[in-house]
Amino acid sequence: MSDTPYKTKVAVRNVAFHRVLRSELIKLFTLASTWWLLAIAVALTVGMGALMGWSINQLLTNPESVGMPPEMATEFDGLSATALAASGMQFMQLVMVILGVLYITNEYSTGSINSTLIAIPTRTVMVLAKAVNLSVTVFITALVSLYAATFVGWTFISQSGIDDRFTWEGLRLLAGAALANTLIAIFALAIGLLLRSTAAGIATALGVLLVLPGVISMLPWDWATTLGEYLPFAASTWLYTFNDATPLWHWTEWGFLKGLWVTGAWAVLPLTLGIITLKLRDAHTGD
Amino acid sequence: MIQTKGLTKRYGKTLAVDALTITVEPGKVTGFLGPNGAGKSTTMRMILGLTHPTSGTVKVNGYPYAQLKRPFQEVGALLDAHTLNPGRAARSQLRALAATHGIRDSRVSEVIELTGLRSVANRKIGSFSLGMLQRLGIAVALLGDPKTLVLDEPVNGLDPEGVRWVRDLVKYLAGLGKTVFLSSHLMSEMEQTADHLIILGGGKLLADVDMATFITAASEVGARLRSPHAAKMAAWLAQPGVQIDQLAPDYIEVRGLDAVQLGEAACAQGWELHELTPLSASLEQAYLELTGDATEYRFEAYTGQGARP
Repeated sequence: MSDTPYKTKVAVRNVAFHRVLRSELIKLFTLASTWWLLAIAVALTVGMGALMGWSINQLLTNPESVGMPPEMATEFDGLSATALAASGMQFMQLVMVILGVLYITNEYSTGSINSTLIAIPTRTVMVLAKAVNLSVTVFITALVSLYAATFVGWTFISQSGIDDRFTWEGLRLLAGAALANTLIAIFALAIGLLLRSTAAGIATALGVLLVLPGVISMLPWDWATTLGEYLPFAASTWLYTFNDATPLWHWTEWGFLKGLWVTGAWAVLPLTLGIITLKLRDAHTGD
Repeated sequence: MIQTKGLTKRYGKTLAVDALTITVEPGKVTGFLGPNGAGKSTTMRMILGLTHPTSGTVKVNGYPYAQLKRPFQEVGALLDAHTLNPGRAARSQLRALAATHGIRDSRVSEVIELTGLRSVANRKIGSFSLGMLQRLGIAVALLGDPKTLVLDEPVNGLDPEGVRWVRDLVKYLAGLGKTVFLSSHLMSEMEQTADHLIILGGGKLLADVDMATFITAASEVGARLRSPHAAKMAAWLAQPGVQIDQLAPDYIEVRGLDAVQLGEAACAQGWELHELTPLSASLEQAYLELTGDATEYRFEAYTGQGARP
């Protein structure tokens, strides 16, 4: 056994946001699952950039070889490098949803929520720190991997496409796509916080993102169509859709601003609800 | 110092903790005893702000836990073993918790040394034995050199050396004037460690008493005798108010007369004695007498309502 004498007079400071931020960052990056998920997200994004670049190139140069009617080729003629990269983003979003849910539910599945809340009894600051760390991590990973994907994709479409990799419009599109990804990751974090279970959290978040749009689209009523537009996945696509027909700064017509507040609401409202229930409920429903 | 007033927690129809009013004093080790389901863990979770009381209050060093600005400086806690992520290395887990209070990495290394975890500090917690998990839990509890320690079954899973280390540590900390509140099912260990006892049964306070007083109160007057003349002595000692059990042909247990009276009697009769041991209760015996009644009481209560099998 240790002969180390027990030391007193330890320097201890108030629990504050920036300290919790650092604690939660250590927790995020000292789990192997985080590194795996981020690596998969980057690989999928870059891989999709290559795959889509290759298939568009095939379509344009030799449409019969990919079993497509030649008319379709015109649709992809003049596709920009960044739009190509962003169009392969759905797979990364699924991975980021898993990352967001896990960031909070692994605390419940392992019981570590107990030691976390003993250290941070006010609780709210813990959720906000996780939200900030997740946002920054997802945004940077998404932006870097999307940018990498533009370079991979460009090697295939350089004959037909538009090179916007070094333009304001191109970077704006990638930043918008990364922002969409970030807000959806926060939505996933909130769902995990509300449900406290990895399986239920991932199933619910992916259900709202992927299954619900399909179900609603089958309903015969007009309001269902409208409702479908407000679902998080559909709304988030406006964050990286820039063209002449789309208003940029309009509150009520679909475009960047409306996409931002609707997707933002899907992130902020469940997170607020999650914080309220976290404060009201006991730390752990088990034992 | 931990103070509860009318502390109550109800889960549906079950009263886990029922109007508990206790004060856990600084400067001594207070043992927290009670059968499984008596409400010990729930009480500890309410002290640490993890579980909200249905009614009543609980304060640590004068404040509700949620109002503490530096919880680690006030309270060090060890709950059951599964409060840490098994996928993380022990040192990373400690660093993450220390970071919330701006505690430096050098202090993390100190508690790793102190708990004897240096050789395994970079291993994943999932690979730890129960004993190593307990040491890590104690390392977490000691991070901020807290004034109060709340330890749920700290010696569970430790080897004899580890058990002794925890005993010495908590006594040392109590000697520094800290409040130590610990639960254990190991009665012999508790008897050696605690100065004071708080005992729960069915969520209610059964006893809040000094260790020595509690054991003495449960002790009976009597002694065990070993002698070649045991049978003759048993016959001679028989009188109203004296109970004699023959444990072996040469071994008897006498209640109602103390060791002094028995020794004098044997000497006067010229009977050779090989052993004369005064009967004294152990904590285990005293505890079982107390909680046995509580269990019976609960059984009656349940059958009275007819609600439980």
